[in-house]
This record gives sequence, structure tokens and C-alpha cells, in this order.
Amino acid sequence: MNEIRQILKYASLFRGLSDAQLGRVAEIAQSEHYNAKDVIFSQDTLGDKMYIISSGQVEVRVQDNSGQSHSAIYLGQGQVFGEMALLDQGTRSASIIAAQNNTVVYSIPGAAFTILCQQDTGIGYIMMRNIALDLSFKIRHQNFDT
Amino acid sequence: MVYTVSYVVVGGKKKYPSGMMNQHERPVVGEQVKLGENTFEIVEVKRMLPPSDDFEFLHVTVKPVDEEGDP
Repeated sequence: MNEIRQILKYASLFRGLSDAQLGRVAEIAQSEHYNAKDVIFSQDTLGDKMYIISSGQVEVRVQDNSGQSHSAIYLGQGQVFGEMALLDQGTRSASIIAAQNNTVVYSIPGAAFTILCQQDTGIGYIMMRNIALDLSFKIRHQNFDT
Repeated sequence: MVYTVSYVVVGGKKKYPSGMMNQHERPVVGEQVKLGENTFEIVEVKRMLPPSDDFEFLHVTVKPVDEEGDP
């Protein structure tokens, strides 16, 4: 439990949460281990979890309308992915593939996350604010990368 | 302080994927960073957003290392 708390503290998505609130989030998170080239999820599939990278890197691969697939970005420790499908109930906008052996991520199920945010609206407010800020950061990054 | 860093690759013979990660050490010009299987050298570090809750948000420009010296 301590390890996941440390990872949550290291992820900007959870900034502003108290230790007790981080503990409640940690209770619904589960670790998943992957080796290089393992597919964590595929584009256009339904998503029911978001993920925080504990160690290693993942590759974000996007397939365009012509069927061409390209590597868009590598995400490393402390980064979050899969949060979009959790919010809008849409399909995954990209495929996520482990880029290194011993890549460890923590997954948070959408249903449990929603219940937690409803039970503790303080967590809900901070998390929704942070998700918005995180998406803003990613858009700004995208602006630099075009 | 935790640094949330956006890495963008400039130069090189091909388009490289960018990167994003959190780290305890502030990136420094001249250091090397590995994104996927490729190694890059940091050429510029800029603040992207004001710091908040012990997090600082940086934009870092990098160039490919492996291609240096190639014709």
C-alpha cells in the first residue's frame, strides 16, 4: 500500500489530495506488470480503467483513418493514461504498448473511481480539476510537438 | 519538487515520438534522456506552467544523439 501511495504522490493527477484521500484511492488501485511489446489496451476498444505508470515507459500508438499506425509519444513514470475513455465513456483513442521490460502500472477501475468520487466529493472535485489540468498540459505539449 | 516534463524532439532525419514523464531532478541542458529505444540530448528547458502543489511543469527540447556525425 505504501508503494502505491508514493506513486500517487509522484503523479500530478493526484496533487492536492491528503494522505487519507490518497489512501482511499490506493485501495481501489491494482498493479499490473508488462514486458516490452505487451499491449496494455488497443485503440477503438471500450475502456473501463485509467492507469498510472509506476516504472518503465509505454508507447502511445495511433492508427489514422488510412490504417497507418505511428508512434505518437512515450510516457514514463508518474504519467497517467486511459483517463479520457473513463470520463467520456468513449472508445480508446490510441493503443498503449509497454516499451520496456518490467513496466509496472497501477490501474484504477472506472466504476470504483466514480463511486469514490461520489462518496468523497472532496476527492471528486480535486481529481476532476487535476484531470482537466492534466489534459490541458497534454494539449500544450501537443502544440509544441506540431 | 516533482518535475512534470514534456519532451519534444527537434532535428534528426525522421520524425521521432515525443515524451512525457515525471522526475525528481530538474532536466539540465546537455544531459541525455531515453525515450523508448532512442537517446536524446537536452538542448533547451523552459517553464510551461506556473508551479502548483510541489509540481513544476516544464517543456524540454531535445535532439537525437545517435544521428550526430552522420552524413
